Amino acid sequence: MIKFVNVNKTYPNGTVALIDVNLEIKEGEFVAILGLSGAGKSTMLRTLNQIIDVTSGNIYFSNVDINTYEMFGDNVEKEILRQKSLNPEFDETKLNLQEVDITKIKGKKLRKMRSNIGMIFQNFNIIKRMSVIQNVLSGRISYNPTWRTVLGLFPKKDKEIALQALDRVDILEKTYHRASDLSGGQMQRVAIARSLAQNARILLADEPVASLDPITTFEVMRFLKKICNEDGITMIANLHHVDLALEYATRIVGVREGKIVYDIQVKDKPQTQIIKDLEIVYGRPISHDDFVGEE
Amino acid sequence: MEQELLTRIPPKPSKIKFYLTILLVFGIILSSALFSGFSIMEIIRNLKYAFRLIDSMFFPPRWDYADNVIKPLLETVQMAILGSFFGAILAFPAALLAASNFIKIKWVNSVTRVILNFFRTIPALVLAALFVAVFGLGSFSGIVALTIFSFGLISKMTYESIEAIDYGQVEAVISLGGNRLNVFRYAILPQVLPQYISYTLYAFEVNVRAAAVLGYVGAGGIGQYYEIFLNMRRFDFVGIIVLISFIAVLIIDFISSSIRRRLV
Repeated sequence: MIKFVNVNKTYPNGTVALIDVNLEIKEGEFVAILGLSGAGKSTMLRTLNQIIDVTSGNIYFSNVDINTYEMFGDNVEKEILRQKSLNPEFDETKLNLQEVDITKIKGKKLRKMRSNIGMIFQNFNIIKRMSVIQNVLSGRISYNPTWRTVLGLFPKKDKEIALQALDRVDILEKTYHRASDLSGGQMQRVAIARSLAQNARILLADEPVASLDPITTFEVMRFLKKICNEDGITMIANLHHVDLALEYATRIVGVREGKIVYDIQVKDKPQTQIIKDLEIVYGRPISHDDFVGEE
Repeated sequence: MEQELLTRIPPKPSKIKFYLTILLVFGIILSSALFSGFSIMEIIRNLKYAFRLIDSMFFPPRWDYADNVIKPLLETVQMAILGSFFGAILAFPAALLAASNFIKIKWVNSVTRVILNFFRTIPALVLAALFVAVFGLGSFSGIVALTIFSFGLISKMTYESIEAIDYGQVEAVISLGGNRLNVFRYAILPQVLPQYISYTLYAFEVNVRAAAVLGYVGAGGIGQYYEIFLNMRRFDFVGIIVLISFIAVLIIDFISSSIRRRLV
């Protein structure tokens, strides 16, 4: 579904963040990216939705309809069925599916592609001075004309989508609360609901639980895993803790000094072996500090 | 203390710089006084005139004349309100252009900032005199002057606030597929709106004081009364204007600061 081909990124100040990154991610995978801070994990996520541009290389997305820039992923039949369930008038004969390099597109097309790529942040980045429902509705901005979104006039259909999203992350009772009144875990669930409202096919999570306590950490990870399984969302998460990666991810990618130095399907190897292998990612043996601990 | 420890203590930082700075500050103050012909003796010698003036201004206050002051005072406040309001409206787009995290084109930021600085350099009184020359006598010229003055003040403070916002929220809106207007509406506005309103109220407080003298150059408001009565040496009338203006300013500051407190 996603293919990094020889991606390099050097920042204007000379910092080299990514060196010749080649990586292919299939639809429905839950990829945990591990590595020390400054290894290039955040840059890698942000090149995927082009919040940060690449210095060279390409990032391809398979089966993008070049009329609407909607993503159909690896399993086109299934996505067509899903689109039909969302919109009965959906017409698959008009589809023109092609591989699109996101580093080469701009403006409206880029924004349409981004609308299929959700993002979850360490600091949640929800709008604290607005209500929970307004935050989730902001996930619908790319599906509405700008004048509507600027005035905050979302159609009834979008409100239903937002309420359903809130219900799925179990926070419907906070619908009309001000976002700043929520706890950290609740804020992150609102952010997940926003990505659901956005109709994300890919979810990028940049240290999604790094500012949460251990109990809330597992709660948020479970919600992330649940929505990915239920909706077939492809998940790419930068994680700090090795045990979270082993428990929730299907694949672990290790980044060190801008290069991918490790890549494994979690089910293919015993966990003790993976923990041992990760020494090449961190440059030191994995210690107690790399674990969140028992729930 | 052990001899070994003494050798490892870093050398005490010299205080010469600090003393030099103090000396310099005093030097500047002293030389300013010399150049401007200021002398304490002059003040002491003329103290009795000052007391006589205060006596004729406020003892007793001419409350019977207060009625005539209210109307021009209200006009002054209205000028301040309109000037702050129009200035604030113009200031926001300018602040966006000046903010380097919203418009990422360096020359646009720089040019906007130079223009804003230019407007802030000109005192409100001079602006008013210039606009009287353009639009003629009356409060309209005063309102335009106050608009420009507030514009310079509010836009400068607002663009600094915009540059200090949490950029993560901007990233969030971009990742939702938002365009520049969406970024403005969902990431910047919610973060800077309380500060922007607070700056506007502050500009209003400053404007009320500034508006009071604009009449001096014929730009409306209470200032023209100051001019007339000072020329006539009617210090009792000047006194009552000062007194009532003072009460008005107290009320306005109280209202606006209680609104500002509630914003945060």
